Amino acid sequence: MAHQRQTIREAIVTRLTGLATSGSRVYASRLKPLLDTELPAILVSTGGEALDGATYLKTGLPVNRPLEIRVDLVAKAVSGFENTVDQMLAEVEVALFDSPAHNTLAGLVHSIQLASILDPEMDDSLEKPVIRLPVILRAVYS
Amino acid sequence: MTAPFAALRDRINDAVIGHLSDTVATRNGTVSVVGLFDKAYGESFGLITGNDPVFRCLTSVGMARGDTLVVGSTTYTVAGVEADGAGLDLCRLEAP
Repeated sequence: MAHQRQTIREAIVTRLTGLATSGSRVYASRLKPLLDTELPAILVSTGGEALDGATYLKTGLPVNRPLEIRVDLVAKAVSGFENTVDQMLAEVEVALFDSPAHNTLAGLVHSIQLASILDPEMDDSLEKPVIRLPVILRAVYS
Repeated sequence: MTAPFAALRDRINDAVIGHLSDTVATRNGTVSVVGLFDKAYGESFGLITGNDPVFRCLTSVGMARGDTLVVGSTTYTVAGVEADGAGLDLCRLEAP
């Protein structure tokens, strides 16, 4: 049986697939570099869980597990690249926060919170500028 | 009057471009420019593939940011010009 972390990660990928800007270019745990044909893209990976009171697991009492999920929005374009990732962020926000069903991944988690949006990183060392906007989500599950 | 070493340097630069150039590019749609074109593989953030196109030519050509440079069938825009201070420019190119 898959761990909840995997199930949640895959549910996030499913939920974010098909958005207007990124389309099917949503990748979980992606390590191989992206080609131009795979951009703009959304990268999803699961991070740590700040568990306080993990011993509750042994006693059988309910414990909420706050799973950090990193969603990187990446684009490469001569111009308008920052607008592109901002648009992608807007689409992600709608996909995850427009209804209770979406915000709980149809009951898989208690909620998904927008924990933080990190500084966008830009690089012009390639033939076109590249931008990455890291978005940190927190999915609370039991 | 050109200082002796400067004259020697200019002759060397001319020889480098004259003998080692691999590309005749077209600048701003009209002017032919001889130089060395390189398009090495590159990565950004270890995450996104691409290349890093550059064109080296004599500073006396006068390349400037915003110039267009046609190499083969690709029209690049000069994103930056880095002079080495000794007569050669490295032009960083942006693809369309």
